[in-house]
Amino acid sequence: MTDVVGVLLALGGIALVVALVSSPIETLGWWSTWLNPYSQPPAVAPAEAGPDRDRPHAYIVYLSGIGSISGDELLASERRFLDELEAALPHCRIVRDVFPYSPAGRSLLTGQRLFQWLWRHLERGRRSGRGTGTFLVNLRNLFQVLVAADRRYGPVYGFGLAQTVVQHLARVGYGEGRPVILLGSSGGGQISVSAAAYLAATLAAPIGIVTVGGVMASDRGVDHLVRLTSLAGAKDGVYRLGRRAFPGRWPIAAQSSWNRARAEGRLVEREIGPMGHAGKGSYLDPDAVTAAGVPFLRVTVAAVARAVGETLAAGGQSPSNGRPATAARSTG
Amino acid sequence: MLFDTMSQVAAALTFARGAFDDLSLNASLLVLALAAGGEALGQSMILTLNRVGGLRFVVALVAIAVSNVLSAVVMVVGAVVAAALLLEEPLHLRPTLSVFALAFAPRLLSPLVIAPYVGEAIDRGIEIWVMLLVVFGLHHGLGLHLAASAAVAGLGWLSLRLVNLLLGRPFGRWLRGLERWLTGAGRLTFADIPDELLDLARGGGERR
Repeated sequence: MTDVVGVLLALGGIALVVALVSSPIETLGWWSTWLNPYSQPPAVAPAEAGPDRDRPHAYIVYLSGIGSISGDELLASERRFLDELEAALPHCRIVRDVFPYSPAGRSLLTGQRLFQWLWRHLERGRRSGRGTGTFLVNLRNLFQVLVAADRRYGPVYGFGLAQTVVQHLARVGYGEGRPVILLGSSGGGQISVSAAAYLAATLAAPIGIVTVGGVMASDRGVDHLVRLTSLAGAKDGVYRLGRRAFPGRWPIAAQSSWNRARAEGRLVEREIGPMGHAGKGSYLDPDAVTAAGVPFLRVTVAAVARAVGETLAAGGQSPSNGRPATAARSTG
Repeated sequence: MLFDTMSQVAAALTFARGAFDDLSLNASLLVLALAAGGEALGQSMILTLNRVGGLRFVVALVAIAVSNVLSAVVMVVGAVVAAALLLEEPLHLRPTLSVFALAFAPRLLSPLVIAPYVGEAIDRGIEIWVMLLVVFGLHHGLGLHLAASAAVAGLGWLSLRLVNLLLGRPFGRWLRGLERWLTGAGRLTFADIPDELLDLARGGGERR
């Protein structure tokens, strides 16, 4: 019996290593056009004519946590959160169908994928309440977060995801120059910072990031942001682990993008309540309440809405490299 | 022979005392060839970044593996020459080559360098592991004093750097031509890809 357990553990370990080592293949394959023909990003519409009050003040692009399997199939808790956020920010347009764990935004359920059958099977299991698929989906997406955080693959990943975001923005009638805020949840935080520089360069618009329990490295994308607000709960162990896992965020790395942005006041870390990272008692839990009796979900929505307001107010400021974000295209 | 070689590799990787005793040159060379191939696989991402595909990918991979073997040979020759100058008893080429070849066994794990985020740290770890094994192998396998082993290993490594520096100039043009053939018009490195992509995102550059 012990032998069988040992063999199974060894096989599991080997499978884990193989999965980790092969995780950059999608990014490199996309880049080298093995998997996808490259297409130029769609041109965004010129600034709209007409009364200013009719246009969205900003576009918020939601990049979900590592439990995501497709941009079209958000978890119920995420849908509720975004509905409430939309109500709290009536002048902003929320884009909610970007799948952030693929550089080309390809859902895990698309027919082009080798393991599409596995993801479909796991998704069916997840829907029927059998949670066996969650671990594998989380692991697969966690490895993509590591790809985005890697100095070698991260730029290609971020570039690809930025082009995906531009495509989604163009679909909802994005007008050139409008501020874009990436709203990253958990691993979506790393994806946000990876894509930020390329999004700013493509759109020539102010780019901000708001993360909820965001796990992210000190990426050079932070240099291109007007503001980054990292919201976290006091009981979020994953968030705290993320702070320690990336050396660029340690106080000793004074010249890192992260710490420079902090010193310049462009980066704020804010504790919003006693939330954990996922499940019951997490940011999107509508049933758990604070000591004052406010549901966690409402606290999170209010904190994100406040951070969005602050980001829009900071939109006219220059990023740390001394170049106005809105002039990025003309400097190319 | 394969099973014996695998046992010897396992012993070497764990710094087992007898790992470098009675080395067979053939077995060590097999380890060296496999390690060079493993290292080439670990370095293959740069080919993908440059969109090298098909036959050119295979040719480039073999070229990298051969260059890794040549680097090892240069290190060994450097170590033998250094030992002849420094030590009372010179080292012989065959046993020294066997020790170095087996000491390169950690590079069998070089494909792990592809792993995201931890890959670069793994790469550095493997290099340190190899150098420690070379010193260990010279000390236990060839009976050199520990300090002499460290000096000979260090000088072997230094000779590789020196050869790269000296031969880089006369062979540079030829190598650059080969590189252009393998990787296309412009060679991208991981260091310059962020700026290339920024330029591309601004609409200011053609995709290479």
